[in-house]
Amino acid sequence: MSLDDFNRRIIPVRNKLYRFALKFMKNKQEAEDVVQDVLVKIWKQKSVIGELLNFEAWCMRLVRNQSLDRLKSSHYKSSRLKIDPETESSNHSPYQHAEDSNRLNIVHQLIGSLPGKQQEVVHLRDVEGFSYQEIAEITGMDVNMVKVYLFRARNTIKTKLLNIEAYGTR
Amino acid sequence: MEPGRIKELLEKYWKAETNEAEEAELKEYFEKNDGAGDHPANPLFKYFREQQKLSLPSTFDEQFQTSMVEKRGRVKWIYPLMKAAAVILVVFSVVYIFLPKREPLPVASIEKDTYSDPQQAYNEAKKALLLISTHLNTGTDYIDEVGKLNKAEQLIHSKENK
Repeated sequence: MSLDDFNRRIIPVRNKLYRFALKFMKNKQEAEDVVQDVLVKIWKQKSVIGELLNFEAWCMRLVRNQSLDRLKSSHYKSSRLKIDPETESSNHSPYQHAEDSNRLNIVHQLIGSLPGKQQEVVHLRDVEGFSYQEIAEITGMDVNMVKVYLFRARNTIKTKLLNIEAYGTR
Repeated sequence: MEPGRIKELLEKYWKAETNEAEEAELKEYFEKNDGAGDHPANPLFKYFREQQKLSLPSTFDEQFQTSMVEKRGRVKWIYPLMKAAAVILVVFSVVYIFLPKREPLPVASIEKDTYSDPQQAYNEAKKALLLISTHLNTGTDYIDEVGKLNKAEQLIHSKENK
């Protein structure tokens, strides 16, 4: 596989990989590093790409594993200690300058408050549009568990959104 | 779209019972009716659309391509080096295998006399034998001690027999 062929396969998925990495890392630079590492891994395993049934899901799984490994690494933990908390909070939401930033920020924080696996499933289903089977492949969960997590997540979101609508509280 | 249809789809959506086509229908509805904005689910679907817009910075591709080309260049440079090392190894192996080995010394040459003068040979042999005998005698003092023990043992046995 030439570098051009590789690019042709990667270009349509690379932003999905970045967004998924961002879900874990919560930091743009870290997410970019994860994507770069994953792309190098994919390049090294280019001989198996032709045999894959679902290239996109495979790449997403690599991003998940790479992100979790990075979060666990001692280098990452020590570098996190050096981050100024103010900088971190200012990066918290990407919607600060949007017109309806307030409502989007609320949803952003609401989804961010969900347990990790629920966030993952919501992101893969509602943002990226993956099927239950694909989500199961990416996360390593059973299909039924994917449905359970999605149900719990959406139920929580619904309850909180309705509370905000009715009482203005979360 | 009928408001009843949206309500029905949303009910299914909250219970995670919608299929991909139904979810696409919902997303399309909220995208088209974004201006209405009063529906509680509207900010949620808007959030999903905003999330889909997040993308890698434009500089990412350039940086990645550069790093890949550098890596490939490095790999290309290593290959000839590895080939040269392999050739050297093969040459050394062939030389080692096919080089004529040193023949062991013939038995006759080992058994041949080392001295031509018999007197000198006698003296050298005497010297060697003396050296051996000197070392053989060392430690014989202890044998006397063992001899005393033997005598004592014999005395005890003779007394017992009596």
